[in-house]
Amino acid sequence: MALDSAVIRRQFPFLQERKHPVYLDSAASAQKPDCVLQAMDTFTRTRYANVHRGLYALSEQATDLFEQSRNTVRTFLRARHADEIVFTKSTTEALNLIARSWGHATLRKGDAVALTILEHHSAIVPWLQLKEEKGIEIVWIGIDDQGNVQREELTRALGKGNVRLVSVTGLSNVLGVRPPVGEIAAEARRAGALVAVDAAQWIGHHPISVRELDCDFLAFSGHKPYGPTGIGALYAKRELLRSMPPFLGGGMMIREVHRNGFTPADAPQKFEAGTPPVTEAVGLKAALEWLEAIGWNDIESHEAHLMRVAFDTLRTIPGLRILGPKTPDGASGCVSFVVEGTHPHDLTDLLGQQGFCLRAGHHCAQPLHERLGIPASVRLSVALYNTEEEIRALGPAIARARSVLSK
Amino acid sequence: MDLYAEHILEHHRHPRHKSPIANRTIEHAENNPACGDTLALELKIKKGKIEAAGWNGSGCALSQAGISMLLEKITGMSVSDVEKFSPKDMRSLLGVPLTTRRLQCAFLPLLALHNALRKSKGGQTETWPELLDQDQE
Repeated sequence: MALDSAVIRRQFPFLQERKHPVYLDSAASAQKPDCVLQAMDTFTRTRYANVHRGLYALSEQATDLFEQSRNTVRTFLRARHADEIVFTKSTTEALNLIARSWGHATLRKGDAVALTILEHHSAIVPWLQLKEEKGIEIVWIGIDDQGNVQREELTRALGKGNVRLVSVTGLSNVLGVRPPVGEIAAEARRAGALVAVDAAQWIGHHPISVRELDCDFLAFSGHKPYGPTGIGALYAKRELLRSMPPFLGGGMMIREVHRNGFTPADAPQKFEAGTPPVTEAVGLKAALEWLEAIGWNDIESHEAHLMRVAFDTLRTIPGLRILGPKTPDGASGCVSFVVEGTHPHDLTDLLGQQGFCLRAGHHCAQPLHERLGIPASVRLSVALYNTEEEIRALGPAIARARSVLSK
Repeated sequence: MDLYAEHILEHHRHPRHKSPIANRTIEHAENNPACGDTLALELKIKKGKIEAAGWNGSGCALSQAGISMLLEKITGMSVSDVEKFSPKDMRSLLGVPLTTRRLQCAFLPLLALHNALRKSKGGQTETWPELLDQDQE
């Protein structure tokens, strides 16, 4: 394997702590490498100013850094134009922006939005809100037992002619499956529907090209690809952003304001009211550059290896059932499971006591858990800094936790 | 003492009152939004006393043991005494140290009980923040 995990691990202050737990919850939020922390620290200590406001040099430099970060995101997503990148607080805010701006302005009663059952609540609730408000219809696209999107259900839904948008995750935050987003986007486009991609999980594990996908929207957060919290981005095609009304009103999003009205600024500023997360943009830029410098081949092969080890380890545990994909090549970034007779909360609490960080619950994907017929699950997620040994050690730890509950 | 103390595990493995009751006068269900644990409570109140109590639900050892212990405790008590049952009382009933991450597991039974009683009087139900506030007092 080309990736030297010792070199990677040395770059994470968290892993230099004398007693650090085994962190297997990067799907919730990833630890940060030195370069990200340093970039934010240096900016805050020595270069700090607000952006797009002052005419002094310091503010101009801050503005340059902020816009360079936007350009880094553009390059990272292989978008055509930097003005197709809107900075938001998070994936959640980016997905809400689609519903509140595009959805609110264009959808009418009887129009439908199609969602896969894999979706995270942040790709569901904004549309349910529009359903309440405007009477739009939500069409659910199911999955098979391995977590694959039922394409014939999508085809049937699109055939009705009222689906205006398909929202699909690029990588399930529970099952680790990767729906064929490019194919789904092509099919949706032929039916006259737009496509929104939730890339919150995808962003840190595999390369993305919005040009190849030809999707209309794509959302991600900074803190999953090793960057800071408090910043995310929405990619949207330039002509779409032009047609969409502002989402929040305030400073920076206007061209002019008078006592009886206002004219909005052009995109992306139209959607960035208020002082943006400048420091976080600096950190996000450092994180994305760091990832690109490591290289996707090494990232993917290291993590694919970790997933094989995770499946091997989990399969040896009696009474443990892996949800979704039957083999590790069907899952990426995370794998979820249930253990007979052991509630996920109890299991992860007891694992936590042994120094393993795993998440339990419905992972903000309750409709998916309903489909799976379980209230909650345990999720193991991997990142660049995890090692084979860390994951193998989980086997005995789960056995010890079970023995506490069943003694 | 550990959260997974023997008395908690014992109630978890052999939950008391986990069945429907005859002639119930109130039923009320609560869930834990953070994890999806559910708890449906049934009470039979007669002459100001909890004559019988039953429950059903699914969740972690702590919430399941908690409802089991709580219903064992309140059966036969007067409604006015049960209404006064506080988060502090719940803590001492459980008798294990609670950390922030498990507060909602520990107090789900209490929320269900409070709200069942409020519902029986036609009052407004208590919210999670209101319940957790009482824990601060």
